[in-house]
Amino acid sequence: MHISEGVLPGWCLITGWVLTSAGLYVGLRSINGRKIPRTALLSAVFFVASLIHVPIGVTSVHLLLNGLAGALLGWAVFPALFVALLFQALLFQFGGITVLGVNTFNMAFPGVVAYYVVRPLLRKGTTGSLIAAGVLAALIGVFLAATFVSAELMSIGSSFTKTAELAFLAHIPVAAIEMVINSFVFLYLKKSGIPLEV
Amino acid sequence: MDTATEGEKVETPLNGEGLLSRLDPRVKIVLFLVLAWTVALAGNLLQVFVFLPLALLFYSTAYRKTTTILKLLLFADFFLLFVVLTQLFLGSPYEGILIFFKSTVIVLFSLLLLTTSSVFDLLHALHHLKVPNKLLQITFFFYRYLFTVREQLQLAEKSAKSRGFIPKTSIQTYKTYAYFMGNLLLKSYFKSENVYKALISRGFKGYFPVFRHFELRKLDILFSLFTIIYWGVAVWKFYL
Repeated sequence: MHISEGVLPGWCLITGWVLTSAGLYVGLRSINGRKIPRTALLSAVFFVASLIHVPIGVTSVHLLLNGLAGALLGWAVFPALFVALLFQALLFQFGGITVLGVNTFNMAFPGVVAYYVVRPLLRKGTTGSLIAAGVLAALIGVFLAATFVSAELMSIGSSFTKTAELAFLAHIPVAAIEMVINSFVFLYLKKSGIPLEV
Repeated sequence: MDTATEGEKVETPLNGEGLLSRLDPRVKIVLFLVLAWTVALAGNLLQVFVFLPLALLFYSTAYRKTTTILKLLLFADFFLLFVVLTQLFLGSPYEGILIFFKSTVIVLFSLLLLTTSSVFDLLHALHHLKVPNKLLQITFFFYRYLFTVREQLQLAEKSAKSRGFIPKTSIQTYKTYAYFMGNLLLKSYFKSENVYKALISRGFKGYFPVFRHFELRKLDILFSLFTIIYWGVAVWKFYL
């Protein structure tokens, strides 16, 4: 869920940009040579995949996939998601430019956390550990992002308590679906034989 | 082989529309940032409304695209609708209205100042505005292959549908979508290897040579002066 323009107070927007700049600095230092086009193309995959309407009950949801992206890309998840969110803002006006720092941090930092938690499981490479990696990447990615969004909304004032609660609850079905999808993606990639640390 | 075809390119919604599209994108990006941050920091409705005439003036240059602009303003952002409605019914209605107008004015500035230039021109302008080159390379490659990746997904969906796949709430559906994504990741991984080898073989040094260069013209200077004076007076009278 991307926060729109005009919602958050100035200090929150500036903090978001500072944290994202730090993440981008580390992320860009970690990629060189062949990893530049690779990060860009995988970023395009996450951008396109997040536009799929995945059915759940009578409605459908869009996936965040930040846990999966983080597990595969490491710190490069910062530039990858920054670019994807920049294009969502430019092409569809989802999110926005002043709020791009906050939105990138909300999505990419949980991705980095997922990377450190999930990496040992991916290295192990058994079916059980890959499923566990998929579940953990979804839980960390989605719920940490939801916690950040809710905390930022709460920081605006007491009138935003209900908005923040509902925003958090809206992420639960997304996490449930991503647990299943991430696990199958890891199993698929393992079968295909490419290194899971891309 | 590259499957991207001309004409179906992913492009900014108002590219080439109206007078503002003829301005230097470097000028438009800087002015957008000044205006958007000022409105984002507004604390009351008056501070937002003072910029509405300027946003409407910009809009008048692209009035032929009213339907596109309205669609993007009204339907594009689910999150804004969610915040405004929860504020109107469960929180503070004033906050809801303030957020609605802040967002509308910033999105209008974004549509009319940024998206009237092509994506390539915006990236070129960001290079002149000293955005790190590595980040711009990622952005450029992302944009270059976005259409290809999208088309691959559409082909996979079409192929699955032709074999009787109907999306529903089931493990089979989620498994199918996961395999779509796995397949896209795999193809993109190998594609990126080929892109890298092609770049190396052509002596790529990290900079894309461009055919057309930006030139600051009289119109750009006049537009900048007008906007900065408007902004200065608005901030002086309503913000300080």
